[in-house]
Amino acid sequence: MYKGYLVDQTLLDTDPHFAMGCEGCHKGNLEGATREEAHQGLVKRPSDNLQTCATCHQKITSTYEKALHYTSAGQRHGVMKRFSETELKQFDEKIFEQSCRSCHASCGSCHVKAAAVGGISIGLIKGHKFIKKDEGKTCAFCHGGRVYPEYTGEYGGKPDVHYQKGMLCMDCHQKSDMHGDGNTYLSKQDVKDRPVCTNCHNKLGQEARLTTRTAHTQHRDKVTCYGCHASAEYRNCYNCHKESESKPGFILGLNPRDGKTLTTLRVIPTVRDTFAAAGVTMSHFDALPNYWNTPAHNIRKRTDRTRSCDACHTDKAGFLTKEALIENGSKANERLIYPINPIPITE
Amino acid sequence: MKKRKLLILFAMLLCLLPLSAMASTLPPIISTEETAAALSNQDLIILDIRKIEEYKAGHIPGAISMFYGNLAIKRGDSDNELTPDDELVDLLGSAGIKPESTIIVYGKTDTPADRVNITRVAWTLKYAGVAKVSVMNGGFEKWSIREKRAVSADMAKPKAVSYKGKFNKAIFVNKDYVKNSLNKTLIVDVREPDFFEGKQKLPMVAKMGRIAGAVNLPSIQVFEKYPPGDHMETCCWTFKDTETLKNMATGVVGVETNREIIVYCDTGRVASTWWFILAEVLGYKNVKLYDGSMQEWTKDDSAPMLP
Amino acid sequence: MKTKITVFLVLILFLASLSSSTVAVDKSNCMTCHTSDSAIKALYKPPVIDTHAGEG
Repeated sequence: MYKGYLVDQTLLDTDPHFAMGCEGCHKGNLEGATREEAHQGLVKRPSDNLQTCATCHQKITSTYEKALHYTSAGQRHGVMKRFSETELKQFDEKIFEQSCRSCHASCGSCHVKAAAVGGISIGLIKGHKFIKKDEGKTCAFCHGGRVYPEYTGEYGGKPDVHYQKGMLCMDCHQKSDMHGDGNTYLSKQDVKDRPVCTNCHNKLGQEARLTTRTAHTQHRDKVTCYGCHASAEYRNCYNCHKESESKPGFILGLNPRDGKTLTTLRVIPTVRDTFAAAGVTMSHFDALPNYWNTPAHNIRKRTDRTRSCDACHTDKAGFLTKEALIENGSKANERLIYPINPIPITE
Repeated sequence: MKKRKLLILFAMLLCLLPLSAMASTLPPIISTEETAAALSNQDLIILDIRKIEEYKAGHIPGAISMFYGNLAIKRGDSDNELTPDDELVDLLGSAGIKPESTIIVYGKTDTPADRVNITRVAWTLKYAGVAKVSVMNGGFEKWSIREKRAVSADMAKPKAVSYKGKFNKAIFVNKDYVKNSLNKTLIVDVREPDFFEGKQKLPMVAKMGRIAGAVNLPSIQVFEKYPPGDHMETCCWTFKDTETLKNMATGVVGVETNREIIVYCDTGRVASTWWFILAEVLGYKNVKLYDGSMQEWTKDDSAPMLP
Repeated sequence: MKTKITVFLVLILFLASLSSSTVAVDKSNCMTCHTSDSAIKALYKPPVIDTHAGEG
């Protein structure tokens, strides 16, 4: 792990980022003879202050300032409705900046040194070279508790077909999704041009096989792509936070965002006393459900549901039921139970 | 007259030579050197089973990515199970694999899991009906880091075909088959002696012990560090030589190559190593792999175990 | 006089060259450790991992 702190010496002469010396960005004490002395006044993450990079990268830093990876606005927006006005103020003061937003990415987090997750960091991605991208060493770490291992099938499920075909994060999540597009978004749901299956798979209803054509035409606007093509269980909070018994890892229910499509749902770990330790309550806890639509990153062409209509229409496999709802959960959860019926036989 | 006859005979012999070259297939455990020599073979497909990121960072020129995770999945509670047949057909077809293709499988050899993943993929290909499968000895580290052979970093996009191989289901057996084979067939436990003797177990296995009547032939002993010898440097891991493997095997399974042998381990992955060596290297003709292995066996209270 | 000035100039130049090499050492201070495998290995302190926190 110590190798994560080794800088590639050749960069000193070849990379313009080093023109101002290490202290140009990192400050510190050049006179220091020991580690402690040399690190006095050290700035560990210089690009937390976007102006560090703005000198040359003006356009990107001005859009990144508003980007979700930097503002973490989605995390505040997602939980906001649970608070009263006073509670929200307390949340902003005591919790958001210190806790939620501590995860935000600086320029360096993706381009120089991967951020520490749970205290562990792989360190400099490539000897302090300023790299364009390396998903396996950046995205994979911060998003390594859920999305990335689902995508590669590390939880023993199946790898996503897109991973199988050699696609990594940036093949769908483009540069503008990371750097921002100049708009201030409150949540990732609102981002223009976010990845959507139909961006590439735009010939639905024109397939050669009759069964595929029928399935796609019949379920359009009723079921999301994930509803049929998410291939396996995905992580829910209780897979790690084991206070309660492990419950379903694959949940089909009503999409809380539009209230009408069937999709894969994931339990989000906000419970009634999540912020109690900081003295903040959620008096409108029941305003939002504990399950949100999840774009499960384990897509495959063939799943139990694509092989047989019965899997959903008769067996109701994976459908959210009253019995499976989490204990003491939000009252809004019941609205997400989808009333699936057998396929009607038309005369 | 005699001279003419001799000349004709000589010419006939010369004509036979190309036939002998066509007839030679690649050895089941193929060296990096032999792999390099085979690169120009038109029918050859090289499969890289490492992660996409590792493949993209550099792979054997011409190799196609076939990430291990695609071929050994979790089904229900069982790890390392075969992908359903229809998906397997998709996977092989999209890699341009035909049943008559010549395949070389390679990966990393860093960890014990990495080493056995390679033979597990080989077994899966044979199950799907691919006739000619070899595994490259020493893995990518030997090719690239130690021997500094050429690598490429492109994303190979093979021309997809419709895979029409005939599945060789005989080499896969399920729990019921094993139950019916007790006391009739040689059942081989390839785990380490401690696991075989019921002294320890892995977390995903419910009980300690072995299938009643099984004998022990640990997979761990088929690999050795490369370069061999007592030193700090380890490039990678290779299979021990065929003679050593033969001696290890015959001591436990005997010399009768027609006898039925069922190999198993905890999840069906490590067992693939001895399956490959027995069936492909040493010529045992009736070797089967119990995919569910101890993870499945221990869940069934009626399945006999020892001690 | 001329010799005195020459000697004086040489002395100044000599002192200046000495001080510039000292400055050069300061500039590469970070690099002294951060490009040396053995130095970093010796100074490295593995992080204390809080095993009670859930996974991210």
